[in-house]
Amino acid sequence: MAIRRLAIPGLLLPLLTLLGTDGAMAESTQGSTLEAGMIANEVDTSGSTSVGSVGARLAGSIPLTNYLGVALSGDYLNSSVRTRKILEEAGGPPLGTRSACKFDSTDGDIKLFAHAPLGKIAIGYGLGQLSSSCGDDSVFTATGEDKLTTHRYSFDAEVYLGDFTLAASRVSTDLDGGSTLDTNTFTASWYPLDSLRVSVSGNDLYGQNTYGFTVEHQPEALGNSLGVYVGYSSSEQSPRTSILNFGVMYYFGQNVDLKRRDREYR
Amino acid sequence: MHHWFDARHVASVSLLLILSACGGGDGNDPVTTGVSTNAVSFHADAPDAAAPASQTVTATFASKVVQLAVIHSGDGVERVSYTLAGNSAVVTIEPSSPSLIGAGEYSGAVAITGYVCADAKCQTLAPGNTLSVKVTYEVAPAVRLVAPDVATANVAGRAIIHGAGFANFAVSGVMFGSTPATSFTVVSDTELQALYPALAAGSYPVEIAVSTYQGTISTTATLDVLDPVPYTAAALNYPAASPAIHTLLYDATRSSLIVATDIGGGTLVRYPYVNGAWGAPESVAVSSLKDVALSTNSAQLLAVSPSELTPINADTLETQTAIAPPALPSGNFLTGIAVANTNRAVLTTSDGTSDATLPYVYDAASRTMTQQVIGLVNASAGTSADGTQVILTQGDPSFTTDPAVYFYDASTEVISALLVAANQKTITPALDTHATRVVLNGVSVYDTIAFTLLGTLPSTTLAVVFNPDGTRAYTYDSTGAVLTFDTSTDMTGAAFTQIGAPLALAANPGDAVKMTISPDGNTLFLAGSSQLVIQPAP
Repeated sequence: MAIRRLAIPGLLLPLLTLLGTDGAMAESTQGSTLEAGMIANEVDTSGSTSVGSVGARLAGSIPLTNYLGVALSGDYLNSSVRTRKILEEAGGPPLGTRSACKFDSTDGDIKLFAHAPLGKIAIGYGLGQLSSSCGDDSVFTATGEDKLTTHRYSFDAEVYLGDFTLAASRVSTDLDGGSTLDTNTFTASWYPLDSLRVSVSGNDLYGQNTYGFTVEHQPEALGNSLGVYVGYSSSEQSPRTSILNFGVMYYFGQNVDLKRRDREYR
Repeated sequence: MHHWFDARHVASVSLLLILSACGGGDGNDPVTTGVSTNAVSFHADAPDAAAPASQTVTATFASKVVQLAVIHSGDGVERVSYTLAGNSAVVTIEPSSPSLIGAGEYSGAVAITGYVCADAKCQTLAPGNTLSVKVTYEVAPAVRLVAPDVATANVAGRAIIHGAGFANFAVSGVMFGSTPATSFTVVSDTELQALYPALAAGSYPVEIAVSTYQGTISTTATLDVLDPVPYTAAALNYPAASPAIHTLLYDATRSSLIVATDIGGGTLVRYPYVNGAWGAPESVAVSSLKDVALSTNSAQLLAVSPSELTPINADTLETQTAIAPPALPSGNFLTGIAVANTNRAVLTTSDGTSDATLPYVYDAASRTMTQQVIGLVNASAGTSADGTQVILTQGDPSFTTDPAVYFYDASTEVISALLVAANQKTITPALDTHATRVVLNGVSVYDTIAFTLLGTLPSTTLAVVFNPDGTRAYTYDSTGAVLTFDTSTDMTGAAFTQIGAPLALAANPGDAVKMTISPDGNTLFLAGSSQLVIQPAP
C-alpha cells in the first residue's frame, strides 16, 4: 500500500531532479536551517464545543545537493476540550463533578524535496501519536485504546510564478490500521513582499470542502529571524468546524527571507 | 526568464484549483448519529441502600469518527464507560453509591461526542456533534434512629431522630405511628428533633413525610412506649459472691437489668423482669469486661474489654465478632464506653499513668473504630438517655491543676473542650434524659448550655442519678441511704436543698455501688459488691 502511494511522487522526484540538472535551475540550497517556536490552534464546532491547543514545533532542513534537501519537523500539541460547554448543552449547568477531556499529540515528519526556480516537489513520511484522557473511559475507535498511531505519506508539488506559488499536495494518513484519510489540498500563495505571504487554500478532508487562508510574516527589520503566522479555515461539514491557527517561530541558521525560505528550505 | 502568467492568470488558475477541491462528500451527516435514550433515572431506597444497577445506552456514530469521548457531570454518576462494537458504543452509566452522596435528588448528564481529524495529518481532533443523556438520581430520605428509643406511656416527650435527607428534601411532617409530632425542627440533613404528644403504650415506627417525594420512606426507628413498671423493693443475688461491679444498665425495652462484673474474669449478667417477677440471671462471658452500654436502638450491648469491643445481641446475648481498636499503642487499653444518639460510641482509654491517651469512636453501623486526635488522661464518659452529649472527664490523683472537661457532640461528631475543669475521681459523669444537667465527680452539678455551676451535692456521695427531667438528683450516700435533692433551681454554686428524709434501702448493695434509674423515673437500681437492689424512687 505504502509503495503504491509513493509510486507517483517517486517517479516525479527524479524527473524534477533531472530537469534541475538540465541547467534550468539557477539557485541552490546554501545551508542548513533550524526553526523553533510555539504553535496554537483553536478548533470550534458550531453547536458543540471547542478545543484549544498549544504546543511547540521544531523544524529544520539539511541540503543534500544543490537542489535536493531533507526537511524534518516535530510538533507537540496539548489540547483541552471545553467540557463545560458540552455538559451545559447536555443537561444544564453542570453541578458537582465534571469530567475533563484532554488530548496529546506528538508528531514527526521527514520530507525529501527537490527545488528549482520553476517549483518544488517533495515526498514525505510522517509518524504521529495521539493520546486521550477524556472522561472515565476514552478510546480511539481504530484501536480500542487511548492511543492512536498515525502513519502518513505525502506528496507535494509547487509551481512558482513570480510572486505567486501554486501548490498541490496529497496526504494519505493511515489511522493505526483503521480507516485511511486521503486529503488533497490546493494552495495559492502570493508574496506582496518577500517577507509576507498571503495564502488561500482548499482541501477535501473527509470529502467535504474546507477553505482557509493564512498570512505569514517574517519581518526583515528583525533580521529575518522571527516569523509569525495566523490562519483560519472553515469546513462545510455539518456541524461546521472552524480552525484558527497561530504560531511564532524563531529561525536559526540561514538568514533568508520568507519567500526563499518557503521555496528552498521547507 | 519571464513569468508564464501574469497575476490575473495566476488568480484564475488558483481559483480553479481550489474549486476543484470542492465536491460532494459523504460527511454532511452528524458525526454521532443517535442514542438509544436521552434520559436515564436511578433510584435508591435509602442512603444506606446498595447502589442501583448500572444502566446502558447505545450510541451510534459515523465511520469517520476517530475518537469517541463519553464524559459526565453531576455527583450522581460515579463512572461512565463504554465498549465499541463497530459503529456503535454501548455506554454504561454507573450511579454513585447512595452512602457516598447521601439522600437527595441529583441531576447530571452524559455527553457522547465523536471526534474527527481536524487536519490532513490528524494532528488535532475536532469535536463533532454531541449526543446527550440526562441523568436523574433520587436517593430517598430515610429514618434510622430515634433517641431515646423508649418513652413512658401517656407522657409527652422529645425525641432526637437521625437519618438522612432531612434538609435535602423538605420534611413536611414527622409521625410516630399514625400520630403526628406536636412540632419538629430540622437540625441538619441527618438530624431532626420532634415533640410527640402523650402516647398509649405500644410500638411506634418513626416516619417522616416529604411532600415532594412520592415513594415509601424507609425507617428503622421505632419508639417503644412503655407503661410504667411498678417495681417493688427487692434485692437480687449475683451468680458469684462479691464481684466487682463495673456498670449497671437498665434495658427498658426488655425490662431487664444488666450488670458488667468481673465474675470468672468478666461476665455480663442480665436479670429479666417477667410477669411481675425477676427471673433467673442469664450470663455471657466477656473476657476482662470493663464496661457495657446499649446501642442507640437498644439492639446491641457493646461490651468493652481492655483490647477490644464485643457487640452482643441484646435479645439473645449472643456475642459477635469483637473489634480491636486500630493503632492502640502498646500499654494503652480501653476503659469505658458511652453511646451517642447517632449509634456512635466514645471509647475511653488509659495507660495506667498520668499520661494522655487517645480515645476512639466506634460506629455501630459500619463496625469501624476510629482513633481520635485529642488525648485525655484516664478519661471516663457519661451520656444522656437521648444521647445528645457525651461528657468526658479526666484526671489523676497526682494532678495539682484540674484538667479540662471535654464533650463529644453527637451532631458534629467532634470532641471539644468545655470551659470547665475537674480532676476525675471514681464517679463517672451523670446526665438527665435530655442533657440539661450533668454532675461531675458526683458533686458539682452544671447546666449543659452555658456550663455554669448550678450547685453541689454532698461530698459523701458515692453514686448519683438524675430523674428524667433533671429536677431531682438521687445520691447513694456513704451512710448507705438514698438522698434526694432539688436540682431544678440554680443555687449559683451553693449546696442543693435536700428533699425529704434519707431513704433507707431495702437491702445493702455493698461497696463500689453503681446506680441507674428507670426511664419513667420511678425506680432506682443499685448494684454493689454484695447484691443488686431495686428501690422505688422517693
